[in-house]
Amino acid sequence: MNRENIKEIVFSVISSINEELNNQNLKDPTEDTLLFEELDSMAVLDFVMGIEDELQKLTNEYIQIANEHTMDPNTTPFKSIKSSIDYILSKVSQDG
Amino acid sequence: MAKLKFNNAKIKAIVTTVGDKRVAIEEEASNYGYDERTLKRLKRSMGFESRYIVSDKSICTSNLCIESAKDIFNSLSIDPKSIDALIFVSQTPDYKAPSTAIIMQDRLGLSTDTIAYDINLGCSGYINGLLNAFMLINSGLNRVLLCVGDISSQFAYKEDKNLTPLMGDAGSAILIDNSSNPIDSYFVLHSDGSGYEHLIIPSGGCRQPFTTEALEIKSYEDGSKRRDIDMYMNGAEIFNFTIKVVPKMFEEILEFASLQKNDIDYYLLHQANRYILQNIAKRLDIDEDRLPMGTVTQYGNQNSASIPGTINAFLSKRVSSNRYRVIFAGFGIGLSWGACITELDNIYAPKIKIYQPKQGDRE
Repeated sequence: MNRENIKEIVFSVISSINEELNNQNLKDPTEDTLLFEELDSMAVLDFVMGIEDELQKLTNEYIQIANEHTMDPNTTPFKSIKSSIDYILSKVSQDG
Repeated sequence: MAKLKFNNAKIKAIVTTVGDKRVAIEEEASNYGYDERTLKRLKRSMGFESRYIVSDKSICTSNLCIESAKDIFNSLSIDPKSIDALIFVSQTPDYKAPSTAIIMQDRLGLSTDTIAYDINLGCSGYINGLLNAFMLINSGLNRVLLCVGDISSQFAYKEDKNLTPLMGDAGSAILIDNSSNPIDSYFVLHSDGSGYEHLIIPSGGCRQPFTTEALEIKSYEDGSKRRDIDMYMNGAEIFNFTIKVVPKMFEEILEFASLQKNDIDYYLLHQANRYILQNIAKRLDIDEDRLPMGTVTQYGNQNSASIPGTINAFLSKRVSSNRYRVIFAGFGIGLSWGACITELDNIYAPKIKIYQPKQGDRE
């Protein structure tokens, strides 16, 4: 799985979450969009669960995306969409 | 490292009684300012559906535990005088002093020779309570009654959207006997007080004595409201803590017991919320049949009673007529976390009971 595949998954999950969240800043996101500050804690969980589910569908393996920094605004890997893609790619390369 | 092994104690019965009032999340959504979309999201990710609480504030945790204990005594023809020790694990005692366990000794008709004491713990409390019971059996006692639970609706403010919709009221009684047939049981326990502020009732202790200011309702940035006498939960920190410690704890206890994950029939975890439970199930590659996760959805998070509550709610028939090796795992306030591997061998475990309020509840 390459960066483009991960990027596609990330944008698709954000779009799906935003159907309920209806956040204007997430209507046309770019890699520079500051994701974490646009999501409440439940939406962060939705995002993580959505990514984990999509990865499991593709790889038939559970790859844990949540970590002990998930909800920490200073150290979360989900600060921006770009950092999220890079982090997920590193997890897939490491655990997938 | 707190790792302990026993082979002479056995769980003989588990009974759980929940509050008498069922509240559906839809009924109280307006308290938290949830719109329909938010509600849908919370149901999916956290498992919110309904919870059981007590209808009358005079009903205490001890009432629910006594109800559960009397069921054990009556159904198994246990003479209350045969109980050597009573341990009460809760954050909602009848009084600040004396210990609720000592009051329960009298109300349950136990002998005055009984050891009775309280342990102040929440979500990890069942593991700690069980450890205390096993230690007492190991030291020569024959029969210990462990009572665990909380009336969480007493300490969660009704408009605290981070905590209140999660919490259920429950009280369990667990009978532990000296066993003539050795059963290997393993415990690992941890504590990390550096995180004490993440789950806390700030006012009412010696550090911050109660004043009338503690009754003031304060609004917070995230839209929730509470008073200083209510429980506060930093959900993000608790989430990070859980993700960090719980999976490691399973590896640790399995290694200590020299067992593989498939040697365990059931994984019985504190029922924090659906996401955490699903995450752990996926990580361990355990299907939901072996890691029940419906308690929080149907009854709410029952704190220290959530593991016994899960057994009564979902495994009642199975554990009553089979022998299973199980892992219990609790984690939360303190911060504290612990796990136990033991066996449930044809125990008495009826379906969950719903409390029937009665005259005398105020006493």
